[in-house]
Amino acid sequence: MPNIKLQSSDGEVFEVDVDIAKCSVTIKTMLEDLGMDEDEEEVVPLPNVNSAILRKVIQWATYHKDDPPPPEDDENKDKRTDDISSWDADFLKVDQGTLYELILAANYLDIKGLLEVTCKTVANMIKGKTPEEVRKTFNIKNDFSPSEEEQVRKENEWCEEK
Amino acid sequence: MCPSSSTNQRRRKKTNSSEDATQEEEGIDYPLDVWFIISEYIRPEAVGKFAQICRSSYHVVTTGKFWFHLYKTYYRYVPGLPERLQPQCMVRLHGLRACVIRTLHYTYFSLNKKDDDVSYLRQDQPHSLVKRQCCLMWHKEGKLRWYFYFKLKELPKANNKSLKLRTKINGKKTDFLEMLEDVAVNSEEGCKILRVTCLKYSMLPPVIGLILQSVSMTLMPGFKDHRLQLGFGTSDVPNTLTNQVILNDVVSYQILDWWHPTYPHQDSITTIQLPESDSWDQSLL
Repeated sequence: MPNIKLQSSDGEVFEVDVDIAKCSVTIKTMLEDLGMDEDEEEVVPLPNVNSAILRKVIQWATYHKDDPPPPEDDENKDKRTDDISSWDADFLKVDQGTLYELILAANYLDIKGLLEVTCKTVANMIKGKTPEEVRKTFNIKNDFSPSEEEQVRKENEWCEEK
Repeated sequence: MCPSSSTNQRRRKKTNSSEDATQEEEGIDYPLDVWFIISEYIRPEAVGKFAQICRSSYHVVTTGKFWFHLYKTYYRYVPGLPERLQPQCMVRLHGLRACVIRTLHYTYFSLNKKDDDVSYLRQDQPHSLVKRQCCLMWHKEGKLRWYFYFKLKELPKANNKSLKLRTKINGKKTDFLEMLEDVAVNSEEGCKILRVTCLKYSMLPPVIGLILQSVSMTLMPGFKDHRLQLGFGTSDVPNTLTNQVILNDVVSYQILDWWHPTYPHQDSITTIQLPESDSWDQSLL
């Protein structure tokens, strides 16, 4: 089976099965547009993904290599967040920093399945928490002044339970 | 959390003069892209909480992309849905947010109401409308009831520039095209309707432009129906009433927020009937 070399931002090179690498639309397009032959020794640079995250991405893509292609984005579909497989749930038991890096990598590499499952995980983590608790969980700085915070709350009274 | 090297971090140092101690606060600036992606998984009831997390998440909630997505995801046809809120009319950015919120209250929130929902028991009291300005009043005759409507708008607070407005002032001048694309525009923002149902008609003094100062609800003789007295004045200073509205034989009242499906909006499309050629000819004859 032909392999391809992927280079992370910190210089580490990973040799991956081409079919697995092509679950990334970015890599697939790169190979097609640049006419890179699968047998070539060329290395595909991925300057936005570090080695730790790339390793995780490859691990995820290898496990899901036989999955059917993701359906076309149906905006009318209610996006469920309670359908994460147990393998994915275990795979994503990581600290919030890694989860965040995985979202960025999935977005950059255009891996729809990974992007969906990571965002679902974050959406689930937001559920049942107050904005302050969400900020604490994800180490987000509160950049609102108290009056602005009150204004945002007021603007969104329409979705508050009475 | 272990933010990586690519993560933007902001640090702020606070100095406590009494203890001369330094407290360091830091937090991550998640890129807007991430907030946009996560926003696709936010359910309507969590939009407010999502917007309150930080400025970036708030920014997402001010975009047409966010509201179009929410509409497309949760739109279901329900009988009685105004034409303005149906998909063929939901193509403009102008006022999109308000239209989507109203649609969600016709569809998502109504359809997802649980059987044991008792929110109607927790409805606002008319006293909560004090210090609002009456901008419209009218009445309607029903079969056996009279309905009196008062549209009461929140008084603008000094120093209440919206977050959006502030960024606009700092940025370029608002032009006509920007106004047409203003997702957040909503002429009913801050308005509530007080609908009072009475057994009999009551003659009311005009109170448009006046501010509601006092509300009193008392039992009428017979202990069945109520009398509602609304005191209006030219300012929000209490006890400077100029006009008093007295509604007798009050059976019930309701306070409607602008997003409530029974809030009387004026968005039914008016069609101008052009005279048909035949009738035009006939009228000339």
